[in-house]
Amino acid sequence: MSTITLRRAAYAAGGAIALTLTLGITGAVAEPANPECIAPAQPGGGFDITCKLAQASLAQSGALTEMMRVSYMPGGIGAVAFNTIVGQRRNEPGTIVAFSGGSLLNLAQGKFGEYDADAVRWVASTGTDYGAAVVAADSPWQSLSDMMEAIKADPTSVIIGAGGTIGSQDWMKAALTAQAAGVDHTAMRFVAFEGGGECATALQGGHVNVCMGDVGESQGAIDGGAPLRLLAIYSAERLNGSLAEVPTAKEQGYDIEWPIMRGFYVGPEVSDEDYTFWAQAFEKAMADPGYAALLEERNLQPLPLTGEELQATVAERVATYRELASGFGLVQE
Amino acid sequence: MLAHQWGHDRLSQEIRPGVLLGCSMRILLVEDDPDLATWLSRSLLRRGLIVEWEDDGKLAERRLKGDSFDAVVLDLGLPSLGGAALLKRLRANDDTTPVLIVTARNDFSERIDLLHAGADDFLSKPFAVEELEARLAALVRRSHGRARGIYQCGPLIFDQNAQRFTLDGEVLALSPREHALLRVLVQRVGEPMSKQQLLDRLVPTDSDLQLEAVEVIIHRLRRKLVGAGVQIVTLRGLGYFLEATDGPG
Amino acid sequence: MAPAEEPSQRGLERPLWITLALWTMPALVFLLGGGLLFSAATINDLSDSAYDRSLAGAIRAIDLNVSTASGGIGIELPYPLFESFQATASGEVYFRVSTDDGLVEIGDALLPAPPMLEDGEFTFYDAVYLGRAVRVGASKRKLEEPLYGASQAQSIVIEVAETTGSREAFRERLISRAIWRDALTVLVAVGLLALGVRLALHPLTVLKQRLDLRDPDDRSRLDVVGLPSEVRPLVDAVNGLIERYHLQGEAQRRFIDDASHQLKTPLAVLRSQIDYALRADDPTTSRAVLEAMRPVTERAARMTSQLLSLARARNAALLDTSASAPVDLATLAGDVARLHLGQARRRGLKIEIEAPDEAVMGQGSEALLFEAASNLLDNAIRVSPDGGRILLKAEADAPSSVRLRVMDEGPGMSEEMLGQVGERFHAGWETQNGTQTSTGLGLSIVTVIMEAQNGVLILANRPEGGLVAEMRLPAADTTKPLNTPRRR
Repeated sequence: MSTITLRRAAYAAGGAIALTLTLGITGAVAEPANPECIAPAQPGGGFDITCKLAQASLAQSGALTEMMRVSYMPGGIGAVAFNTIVGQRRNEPGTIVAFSGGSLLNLAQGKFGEYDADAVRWVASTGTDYGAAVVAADSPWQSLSDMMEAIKADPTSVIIGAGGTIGSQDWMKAALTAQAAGVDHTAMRFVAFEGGGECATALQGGHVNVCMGDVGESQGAIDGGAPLRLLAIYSAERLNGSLAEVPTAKEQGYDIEWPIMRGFYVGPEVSDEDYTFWAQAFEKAMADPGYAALLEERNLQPLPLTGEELQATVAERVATYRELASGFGLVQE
Repeated sequence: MLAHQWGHDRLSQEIRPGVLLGCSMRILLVEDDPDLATWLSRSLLRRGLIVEWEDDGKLAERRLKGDSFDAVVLDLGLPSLGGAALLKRLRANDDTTPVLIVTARNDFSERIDLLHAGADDFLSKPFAVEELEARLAALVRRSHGRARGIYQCGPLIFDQNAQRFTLDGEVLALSPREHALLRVLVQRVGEPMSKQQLLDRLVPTDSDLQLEAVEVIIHRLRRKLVGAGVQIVTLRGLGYFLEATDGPG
Repeated sequence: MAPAEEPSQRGLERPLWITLALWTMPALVFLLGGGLLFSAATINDLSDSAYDRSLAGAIRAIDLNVSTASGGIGIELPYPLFESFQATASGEVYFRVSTDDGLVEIGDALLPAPPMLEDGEFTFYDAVYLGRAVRVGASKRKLEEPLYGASQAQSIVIEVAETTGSREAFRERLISRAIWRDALTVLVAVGLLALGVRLALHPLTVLKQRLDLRDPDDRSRLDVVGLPSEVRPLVDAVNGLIERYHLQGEAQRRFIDDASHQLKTPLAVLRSQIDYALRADDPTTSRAVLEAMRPVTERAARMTSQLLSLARARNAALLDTSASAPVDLATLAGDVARLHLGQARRRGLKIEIEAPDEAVMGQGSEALLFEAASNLLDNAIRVSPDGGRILLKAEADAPSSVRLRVMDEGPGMSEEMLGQVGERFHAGWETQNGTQTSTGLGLSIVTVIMEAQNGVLILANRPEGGLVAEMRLPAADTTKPLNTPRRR
């Protein structure tokens, strides 16, 4: 405890010095007014966590003096928010919008309306999540194979919940797993939710049998006391900490990895200065020594990318997703 | 021989052969009343006819299939096969033996039906035996004539095969029209025919003949037949017919 | 019996209740079946509207939980709502909420796409989901404000589907109840009908009993008291029949009277003749008596024949009204002449016929008129001298009557005899030529026949000697088709 407090004090001090120095060095870039992080989902989901992470890390590192506000704009796993930013709120220097790998997947499929990845300016990636399959704590399934057997036996008896509809990343995870198991993915019974949080609620209520979600929000819910259990994590190796108890999909015989980038973008007409401000602010936040703990709390892994590097990575990811999606015949022209 | 001919009764009788074109007439009597059959047969035998008797319709039918008779005297009310049915079966088997029906029933429509069914004559009971014999003779004569192609009325004979008329043995000379007309008359001895009927039977071969011409031909024929023992009788409203001058034959 | 007649005969012989049943049951079944189909359609519509209302309720509940306050679309999961819904529906419920621009989709992603939806209206339709029949309710509602600055406000599409199990069960219960009800109705109706028929036909049983109780000699008419009006025509017909049969019975009695009276005389004569012959000493006398017996026998035979003809003619006059048709008297005369020609020619008699060129048509029974004319001609032949002439003349008498006259050259009839000819004949007989006899019977026959044809027999002596017997009858109704073929 005292170590942490000390560390925090050190970080805070360091952060303040860094900020002053930065301000002093650059002199010009001012903090935009009314900093707002839009989580394009209902509260409690992955986007909420992402925004809260930004809120905490920016404040902790001193990159932002004003406390960032988190607001919610659910709809289409970010589609509505994306369209709103691009359509109506093109130049709000204080507004950043959370995105995830799932958003990119939907964007690759043309589900964000008429816009593509170039319509916004990708600012930073603050970490990476991994896909997970979550069941109720009292579920009879102990492994992905159990689930697949159940689906094979009677496809309509297994209700698979996911944030996002067909083609979303959650659906994709289920489809890839089914493919690997030799199950016809089109036979899966699938219920879409706006976000992982809603799926978890439904899972607890017994309205779905499994949620294809993310480690971040799922473990977060479990930590919060929800009677849920991770069935598998779609990562290359087991994760650290308490997550080390959860087997990977690969271990269970399903060679599928699903990392989920979590980051932010700003409107297309935000000025370069504001854009740079945000990029630098995140750099600072992620460089802060206290950042790792923030990640760990949220069951996320580090993936610090900003600015140009992030834009390039995003474009690459979108292209990859597009190929994957067209393999499933999902790309809308 | 007598017993064989009688079949059912034995009574010796004198046989005087009845003359009809040189042979005795052979009659099958089909009658179920034994008294009537007995006395009738005796009377006919007396007159020289040969009479065989059956009292049952089916037996009579079988008899007719096996033997040939000159004529059949048929009662209507018979056991097993009625007279009318027997007649119809006979005609259906192409048996042209002349049939004279005797019956106590007086029904006129029945009489007409039977004549249509192929009966040749009809006599109601009770009848005089002479009447029966005369009618039988007429029937037989007609049928014999038809069978052989020889038609006769008194001394006048027509040979169909030779197409020749003879009067008392001598050939009669006739014009073609006279020949044609006389032939029609001799084939229907005793049946009156009107001028129109005669004309109808002549016209196919002779198309420009008129009704008045028929009268002329009749007149000429009469002249040729004067005193010959046969005459053409005219009855107004009925027509012309041939008749032997000693009465209807 | 021609085969074609049998089926219709069998049809008439079928018991009445079977005929009624065959007529009414199919009609009833058809009608009730039709009603049932109609009811089924109505039941389907009603049950749909009832069940659909709860679907609409669920849709509205979901709709209420859609909020766009955040600038996005927030939808609260309807699972708690569905729990109560599913409990009552005893089936499964699925849902989907989406925007019409495809940006948002929540719920069962594999629900079949809805048909064209009208904005603000509920649409209900049947579909198949996960291999099960479902009923889907869908609604489309425009958002107040367009999202994310779009030019037009998007619409929210909410679909709620439920399995139709309970709906179907409900319908089946109703329809099976309807079927049972209808089947029962049919049975009861048929039962009542059968009972009704029995009761309605009861009067016929009563009638039968009355008939059974009648004395065969009872001439009185059947009583119609206490019988329904439909049966009266039957009773009247039976009464008519009874009357006719009585008349016929009387005629037969009269015949027996006449016959026994008439035949007794010649039979008595024969008996005395036989007695005499048996007691005679020499064969010549016996033979003479035998010869004398012959004409008596002939007379008896002829009389018997004529009595029968007379009886038959009386019967025909009573019963046979259907054989009346136009008859050509000239043709008739020719046929009658031909029949008797042989007999006439044997005595050298001439029979001649006079008739106008146009047909002389009388209305009557051809068979009876033939018999009448035949009797007259027979009489004429008997009384004619050898070589004499008999003339048959057919002509129109007045505009509405025709006649056939038989004229002979015999002795004619005495004035007394002329007056006495009628139905009730007298045995006046005249001897002519020793063996020929005539009886009044023949003329009685003709009289009866003519009266049956609405005609008359008129006898008169000819001025030149001989008798003229005239058969006068009404002229034929020329509007009716000709029945007798003209024979030449």
